[in-house]
Amino acid sequence: MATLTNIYAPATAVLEDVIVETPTIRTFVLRPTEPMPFRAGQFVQLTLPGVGEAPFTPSSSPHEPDRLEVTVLRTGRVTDALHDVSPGTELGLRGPFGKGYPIEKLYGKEVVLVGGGVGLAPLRSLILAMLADIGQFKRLSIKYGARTPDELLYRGSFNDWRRHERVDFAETIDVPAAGWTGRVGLVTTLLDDLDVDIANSYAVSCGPAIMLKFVTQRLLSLGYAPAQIYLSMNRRMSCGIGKCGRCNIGPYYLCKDGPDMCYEKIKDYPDVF
Amino acid sequence: MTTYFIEESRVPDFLFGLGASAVYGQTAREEGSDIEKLDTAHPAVLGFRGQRAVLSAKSFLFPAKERVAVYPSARYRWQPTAEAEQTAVVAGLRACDLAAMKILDLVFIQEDYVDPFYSLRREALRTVSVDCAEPAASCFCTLLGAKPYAADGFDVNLGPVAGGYVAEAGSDKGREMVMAAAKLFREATPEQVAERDAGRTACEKKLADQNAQWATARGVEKIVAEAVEDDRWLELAAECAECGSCSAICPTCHCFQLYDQASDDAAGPHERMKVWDSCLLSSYARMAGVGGMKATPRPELRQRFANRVIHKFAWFPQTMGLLGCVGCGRCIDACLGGGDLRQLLKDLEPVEA
Repeated sequence: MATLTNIYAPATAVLEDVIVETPTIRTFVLRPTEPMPFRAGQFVQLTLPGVGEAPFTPSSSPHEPDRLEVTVLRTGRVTDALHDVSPGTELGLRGPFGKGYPIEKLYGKEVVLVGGGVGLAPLRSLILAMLADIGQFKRLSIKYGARTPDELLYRGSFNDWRRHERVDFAETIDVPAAGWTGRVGLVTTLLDDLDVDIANSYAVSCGPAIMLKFVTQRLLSLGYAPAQIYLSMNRRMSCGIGKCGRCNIGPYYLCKDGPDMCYEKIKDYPDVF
Repeated sequence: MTTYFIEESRVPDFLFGLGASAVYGQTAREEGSDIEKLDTAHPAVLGFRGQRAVLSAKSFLFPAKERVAVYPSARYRWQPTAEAEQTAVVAGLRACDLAAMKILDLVFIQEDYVDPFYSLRREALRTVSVDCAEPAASCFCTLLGAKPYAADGFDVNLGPVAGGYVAEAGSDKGREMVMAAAKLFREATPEQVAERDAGRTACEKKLADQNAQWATARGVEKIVAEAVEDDRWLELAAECAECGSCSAICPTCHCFQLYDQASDDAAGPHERMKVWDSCLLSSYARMAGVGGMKATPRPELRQRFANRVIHKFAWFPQTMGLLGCVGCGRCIDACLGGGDLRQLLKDLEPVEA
């Protein structure tokens, strides 16, 4: 019998660095023992030894497969423990899993990315992939919202991204805050004055489910067809390979068929948002 | 297919003569019957002529709890092979059990990723199936267009007749099994084959009669596909006690969870376990984080209940090409709330105006 790969066993990755992004969000820089090439939008199962696994989409560029970053909100059992580990720790990795963003479909298009909170993390991988090949795209328009200025991720990169020709970037916070002179309002308000050729555009969004719902509604009202909207549907996943069952929307398993799903495919199934 | 005859009393010799590490067979019991490990020193009475076993054969391929990794893997070279590679003979399976294995095969070995544990167990398994002579009251395979005897999917199939069984080999493994025990088999007479076929027809008739009240005019796949957004799921889920028994006893339910058992030593070895799970349980898809931040899908029981039924009857067929239910009726026997899947399907069928 052919040698079978144990799809459930994690490979080793060394934690090289921890970057504090916000009071509750940190970026973990990992170096897998074996390089793990991935497409932007694919995800990995990260093992904290003796604690457990949780799925994360890398936030780093897919052009650097020997080094992989995940940006993690402290929000549960595994992420709480992960936030306490120090560089040098050996972690485990399985993956990459899923299909990733349909980047070839975006060639020649005006691409609108809408991120909410820690949802900018997977989109950063896509942004970096697109910036490395920006001539392929007509335009990249990034709309980003967080609750407070403290919770804006990657603030140091905003101006780097803006500087690219064909790229515009706008950020907003949900409620007024002392010292904040930028825009205030939900991320959907950044779509109010959207200046793109919708017929030649795709929108890609990642954020909390409730945000995805309102972003989708806004995009539809602006004239986007469901087939032009891609959503990062991140749900609880255990196996990562379409067997354990829990991440389905209708007949699709988000781990295998997503996690970025074309809204056209899922819109008629119950419990999308 | 060549048809053979084997005497009732020689069946244990056949099963034990195959050189398998373990022989499991359905044993006769006053009430309820299961597939148990057979022991030459303490012979059991086989229950092939009675109703299907209470439990399905799922756990022979997909144990309720199984160790699937020991890590960090660089330091702990652990292979899944030893236990999973042990050849096992499982005898007394019914057509529904074989149909369920086809479904599990699709999930675990015919998709993009092969589950090595399932695959090794499947490869090592020898199946001996039996035509159903006596359906359980909850059996309803014929409502789904299936039959209480298998046309394929077995290594060796036995059809009960007077004094023994008409045997057929349905695979290369099965032909080897019969060849290895050639002296126990002789060619079946046309009368014996006719007797077996009459038994099959009689069982089909019993099933049709006992399920007549639940027959639907249209196929169940279509009925359920059209009921996805039905507002009656709340009412239909009313008797569900959310215990998960139906998932555990179902021969095709394959949901599981991976969880890590920590070693006392931080350096390991830590163990990863693969454990049965049920989509009916509220913990199944629960997301981390404070409420609302990361909303848990299907927060209400009616949604989880609907998801389970729709998955088996509409979504699994849509993606895999066959129904995810084999009609064994075990969920009906196991349901704490007294739910009957046949009635549910009947209730979902729109009443013609």
